[in-house]
Amino acid sequence: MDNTEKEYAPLINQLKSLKAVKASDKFRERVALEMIPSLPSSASWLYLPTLSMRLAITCLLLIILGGGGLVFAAEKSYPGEPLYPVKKAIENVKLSLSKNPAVKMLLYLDNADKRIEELKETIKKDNNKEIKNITSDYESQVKEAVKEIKDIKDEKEHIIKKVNQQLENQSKRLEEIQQAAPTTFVPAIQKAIETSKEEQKALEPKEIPDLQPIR
Amino acid sequence: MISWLTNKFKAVDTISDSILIRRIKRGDRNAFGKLYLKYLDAIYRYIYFRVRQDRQTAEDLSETVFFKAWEHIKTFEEKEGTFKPWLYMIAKNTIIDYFRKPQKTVPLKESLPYDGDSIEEKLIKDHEVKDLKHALNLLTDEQKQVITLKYIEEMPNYEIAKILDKNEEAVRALQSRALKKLRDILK
Repeated sequence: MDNTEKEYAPLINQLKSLKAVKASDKFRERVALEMIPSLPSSASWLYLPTLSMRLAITCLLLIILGGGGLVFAAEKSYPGEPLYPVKKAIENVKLSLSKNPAVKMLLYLDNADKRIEELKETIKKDNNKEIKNITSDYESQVKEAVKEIKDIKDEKEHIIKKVNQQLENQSKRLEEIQQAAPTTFVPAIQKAIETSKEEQKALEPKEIPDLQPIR
Repeated sequence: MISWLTNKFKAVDTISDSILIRRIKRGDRNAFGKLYLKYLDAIYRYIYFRVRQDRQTAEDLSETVFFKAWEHIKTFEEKEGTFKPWLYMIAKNTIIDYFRKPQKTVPLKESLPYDGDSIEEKLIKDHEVKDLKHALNLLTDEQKQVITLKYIEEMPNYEIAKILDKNEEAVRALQSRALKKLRDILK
């Protein structure tokens, strides 16, 4: 112990007691059950043991893709833009590479969220054809997400609750978009809202009817 | 639930960070889960004392730190240093980004009511500790960091120097000033 620490020993001991400050069990559990299983799988794509292998693959990708920013730019694209098909292709590849139903479910919900953002932007551009494609895709993503739940074995009840919350949040956002949208777009958005609400209902536990007494 | 988690990520302490990191780089989420359990509380505390002891913010930012760690694990070169300072640097940058955004004021005089308080937190809510936590809030950001890292997390000065991007002498000087200020506040 140096001189400073000797001089302040009682204070330092008090400070050590603050090690009792910890993240709550609820938070710890939530991250372990939700965030970690849903981490994107890009780490496994790109891990290469040696620097020379990494350099070789990077150069090849740059040649093929014509620029390192292509994938990044695609993520920011909207329907009707040239890079939008790349964005969709990346989504499909992520889904096909994922075996875990919880991860697939989260990827579908994430795609559904993206469709809502795209809807908001595309309405501004007044592109009726794209609006219908987006809302239709939104409905597919939500239905696929809910389908994956049946294959989830661990913590199903907890996951259903979280999915319901997310679908509810998505319905609200769609309703806000619908209120501000031109009349021509309202039916397509309404259909998307109805799909979201139907899927929420499908997740509710089914009531077992009372057995009639035998007379 | 917690015992399930504990069983699932059993033997955390027996697997070295470097083995876990190699597995994480191959996309092993289970290995990442072990690392997360090992470092969560330390990262949480580091953030907690820097964001005026706001639990919710500390949790949100802790989650961001681990997500970023996963995203950037392939850029981590083991020979450059241990994993722990690297993780703390991510936490440091995450806090910098957080402070850049407009903040709502969290009153200093209370810990906000929070139903997620652990049993340990409830036990330590006595008068002296409250005063100490309040005094910590009155330090500068750099002083808070050195106090947290040195005396709460018990990190060696060379690791703290790496995280703060200072030399060890500067770190020692900061510690000395911070301890003096704390003592003066608590008198």
